[in-house]
Amino acid sequence: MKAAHLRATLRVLGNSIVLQVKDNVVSNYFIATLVMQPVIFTIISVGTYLYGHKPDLGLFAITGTGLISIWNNNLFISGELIRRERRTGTLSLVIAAPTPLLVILLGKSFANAITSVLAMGVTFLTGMIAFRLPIGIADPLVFSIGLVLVVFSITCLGLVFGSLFVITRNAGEFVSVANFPVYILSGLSVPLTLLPLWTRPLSNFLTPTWGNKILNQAAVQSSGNMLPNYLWIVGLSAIYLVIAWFLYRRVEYLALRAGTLEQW
Amino acid sequence: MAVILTQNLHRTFQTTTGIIRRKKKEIVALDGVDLSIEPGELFGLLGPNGAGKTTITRILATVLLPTSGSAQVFGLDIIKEVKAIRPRIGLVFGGERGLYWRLSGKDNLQYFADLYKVPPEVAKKRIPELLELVGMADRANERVEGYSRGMKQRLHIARGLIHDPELFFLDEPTIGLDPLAARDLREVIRRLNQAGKTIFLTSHYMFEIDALCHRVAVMDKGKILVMDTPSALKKVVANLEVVEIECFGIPRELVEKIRSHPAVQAVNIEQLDQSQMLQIQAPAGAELVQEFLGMLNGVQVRKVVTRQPTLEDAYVKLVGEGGKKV
Repeated sequence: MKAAHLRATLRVLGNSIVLQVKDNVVSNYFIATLVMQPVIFTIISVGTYLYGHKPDLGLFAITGTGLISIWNNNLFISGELIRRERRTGTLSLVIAAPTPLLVILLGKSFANAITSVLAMGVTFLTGMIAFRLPIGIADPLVFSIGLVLVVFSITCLGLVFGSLFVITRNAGEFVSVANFPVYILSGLSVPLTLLPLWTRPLSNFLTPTWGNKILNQAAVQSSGNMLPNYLWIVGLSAIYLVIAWFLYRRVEYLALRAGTLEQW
Repeated sequence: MAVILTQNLHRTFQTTTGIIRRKKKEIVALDGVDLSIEPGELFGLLGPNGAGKTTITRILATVLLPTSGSAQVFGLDIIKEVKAIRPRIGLVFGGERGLYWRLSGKDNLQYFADLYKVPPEVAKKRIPELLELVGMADRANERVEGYSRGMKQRLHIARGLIHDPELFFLDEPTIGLDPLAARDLREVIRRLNQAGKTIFLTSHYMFEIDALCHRVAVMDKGKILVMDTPSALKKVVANLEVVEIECFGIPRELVEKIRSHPAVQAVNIEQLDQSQMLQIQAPAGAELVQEFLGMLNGVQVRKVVTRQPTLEDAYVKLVGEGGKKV
């Protein structure tokens, strides 16, 4: 019975990914956040470092900007997922189904995250074409493993923020504001060494911090022990999922009590 | 054992008014509802907008919590035993919302089959059967955004049935449909009930409830006014007849004058395209037509008809004048 239940849950996960990809390919919003935004962010970010005569930070700016785009994309598209479910009137139907909402959203968000890896490619290309930066990746294997892990982990972090969208249609405003501290504290827009020391524990709790370390290091040199960084990402992902599990149960209850599932 | 049992069910909603000095206001949507619905029954809930029909449907379908009172579905508590209830119920709301428009009809069904953990081999067989049942087999691979309203509504029915529920909630399923599409949908509902499904149907349309339901409850302002079989409800108006007068531009005071006539039981006025239809309920055989026409002196009258009362007239009498303006 438990095996059948697990198979059914995995099937929902898999089909949620397929459904989301099908839905995304016809969405202009998705293309805009996946292509246009990384191009603009890269030009601003790399341009700032070059103008400040710090060309050695060019690669840092590119990986950071790539992760910002993945994070932004994941956060807003995941929020948009619930907003769209609300708008199309499917949110209450999805909640009325026996599959937990978190499983459905995990599948859909992961689909977005996988596709959003394209944003990292766009930032590298923009750096090469717009600024003629000689960009190569010293350790492609470590870089790839790090990218997959951080994308999954960002999906889990996005779910924690996304839970707010279940309870209120106005979550977008809060998330828009909360979005910036995440990538500042993760050292994606400015190096962590420039931030005050008291911010370090907060940075450690954010998975893009560790993802950025892996990607930066793998891009510039092939040596170095990445295991602690990998473990941080895996551990944080587990913590995010546990938090998200409790949050979704709670916000679902609150939404049912407040009767807000149909508001859009 | 009753499939649905509610006791003293209450639900209030809070709204706020004002921008700077915000005031909270409480709106009573359900005010002590008691219901008992038996297995295999096709139960109709009738009432004007804001009566509480959708609220009670959502509570019983486990997508809204009651403020107080108790409700059981299959003998299970709708708050504490949600997980056991959800796989056994189907839910369909009226209107075009509730589907993934960018996906095909078939993909929508497949997705909801997954959400309800229908085994793939069962879903593979059931999806074409349901598409056939609702007459959508030939358009199943097209995107939902290209469907007409009636097609979307039929797809909703198929979606709600994808996990073969024992109890089916239909909240105004024929709203906005053209007469032919609505008739087809009613036929589908009838067949589902004949196949053994218990159906909880809410509707604005009296004839729909009359034609389909075994029992009907009339609801207004969050309360159940009366609950019985359609034929028993019609007895409320059994000794009456209805005089229908179609006229142009009838003044409000003339309507009130007719209403205050000692023999008149209820008056309803319905706005037609160019004219108004005045429906007067009065004792049968009272020969009041000439008297009413005399009262309407100066108003252009197009047509006068006397007919037997229907469930709709019983509803108008029970709910009052506002009841018909739904």
